[in-house]
Amino acid sequence: MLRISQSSGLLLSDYMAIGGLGAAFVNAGIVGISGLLLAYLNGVNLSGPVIAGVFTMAGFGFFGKNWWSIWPVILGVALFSRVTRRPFKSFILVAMFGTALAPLVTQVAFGFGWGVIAGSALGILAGFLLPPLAVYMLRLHQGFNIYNVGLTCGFLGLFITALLGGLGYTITLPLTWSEEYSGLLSQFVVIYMGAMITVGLGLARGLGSWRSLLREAGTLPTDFVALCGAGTTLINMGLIGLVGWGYISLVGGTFNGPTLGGIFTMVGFAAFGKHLANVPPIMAGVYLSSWLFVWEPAQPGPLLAALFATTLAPLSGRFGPLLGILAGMVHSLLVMRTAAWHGGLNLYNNGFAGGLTATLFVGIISWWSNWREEHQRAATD
Amino acid sequence: MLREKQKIIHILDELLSYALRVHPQLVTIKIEQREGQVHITLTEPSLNLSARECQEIERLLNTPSRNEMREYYGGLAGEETLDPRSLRILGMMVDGGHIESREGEVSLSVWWEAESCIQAEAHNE
Repeated sequence: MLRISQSSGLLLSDYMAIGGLGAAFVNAGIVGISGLLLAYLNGVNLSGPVIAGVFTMAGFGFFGKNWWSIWPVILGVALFSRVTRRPFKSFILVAMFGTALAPLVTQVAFGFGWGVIAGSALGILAGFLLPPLAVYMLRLHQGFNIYNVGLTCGFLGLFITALLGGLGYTITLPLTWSEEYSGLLSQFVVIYMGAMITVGLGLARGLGSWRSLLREAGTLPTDFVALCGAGTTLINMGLIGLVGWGYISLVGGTFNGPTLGGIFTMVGFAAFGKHLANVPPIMAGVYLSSWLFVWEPAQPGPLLAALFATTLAPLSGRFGPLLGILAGMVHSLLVMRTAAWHGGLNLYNNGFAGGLTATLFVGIISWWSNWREEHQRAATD
Repeated sequence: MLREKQKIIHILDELLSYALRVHPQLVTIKIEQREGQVHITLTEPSLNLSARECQEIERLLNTPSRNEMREYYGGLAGEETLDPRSLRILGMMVDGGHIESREGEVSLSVWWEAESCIQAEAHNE
């Protein structure tokens, strides 16, 4: 735990390699429970986005967020709510997802050796800036990038990295990637998802709500708990987890901290936009891109890209699987570059690349649909 | 995060985007503040909506509103949206909504607690 607590947490720091299997699980558990506790103490119900927040926090508790480094960012958001005289629960989602910037705290504290106070101060400052930026970033992609705070943190990360670089502090991206627990973790995922599906089947009433869930595009905000009930949502979460597990198994990838984090994030967002109809085309796009480009699907970057690229699931849900495949391919190209741009300080690197990809697609589609509408109207007149 | 003026503009944008999808000839909008609430009513005399469509719109406008959702995702309201279910966002941002369709004239109204009252509550907390 001490090694995890003092690790830089930058992309890609596998806590299973740094602190061992047990310590990584304890850390992920504490980080996830912190999110749950935050929601509970603020009187926020366990809705789709809150479930997504808790699972994302827990997932990244395997690689990048630790039990203490999440708090300065959360405190920064709380400070913003105090200054703007709004209840903290209005910003709780930004606070939960904003913990993507936890590596800023640990890198400054231990990577640069400035100490815990300086690291925490920078984390608080970053957290303070997140809420207004997160709302603004939504408009760029119109809710087609589910990990919107990833785009926000990546954007902020560009400036922070530039500032640190200006001060003479450069960041070298680490790559720790454990392989020794892969078999055990694979079994854990299957049992975990199986349990979710079983509980979901017990709670769900018929398949009607399941069919309506699959018809949703998944654009932000699509709360499956409110729309389809807890049972159907749990089934969906379990199935999406198995999709992630199936992909890793099929391409011969490794189950470790980062890939487990990817699966947990997919599972969480299966309560908030992702489902069996809109996720597979994106993953297929990422997989197909490995035929065209110079990487293998089981390598760390492409493997994580396939899991996390599902942030673009709404593009597939709204405009069809072909566009989803294309979006997945474009995304995989971009995401291989973006981690270096923000120095790995933003853990949601795919949220950042996904936001840029979604903005590209939405911009073109928006222009096209307007042009077509005017063209059709002119033809009718 | 959205101030009252911004919120009204976003909601108006959203309502207008919805109304303008069918190229209406005349749209009337009324904004008023009464009893601590902001009310916006949009009237469109040539919009033909079936009872089922009205029921669906009424349902979307009365989407259960949650603080953590409305402040953050409310920022999406009024954008040039490519999602036909955007009324759900509008429903999330307001406290209530109602739609009436009589002889081809549709009247759609939404309301929510005014900013001054929300701030007073937050201050008391």
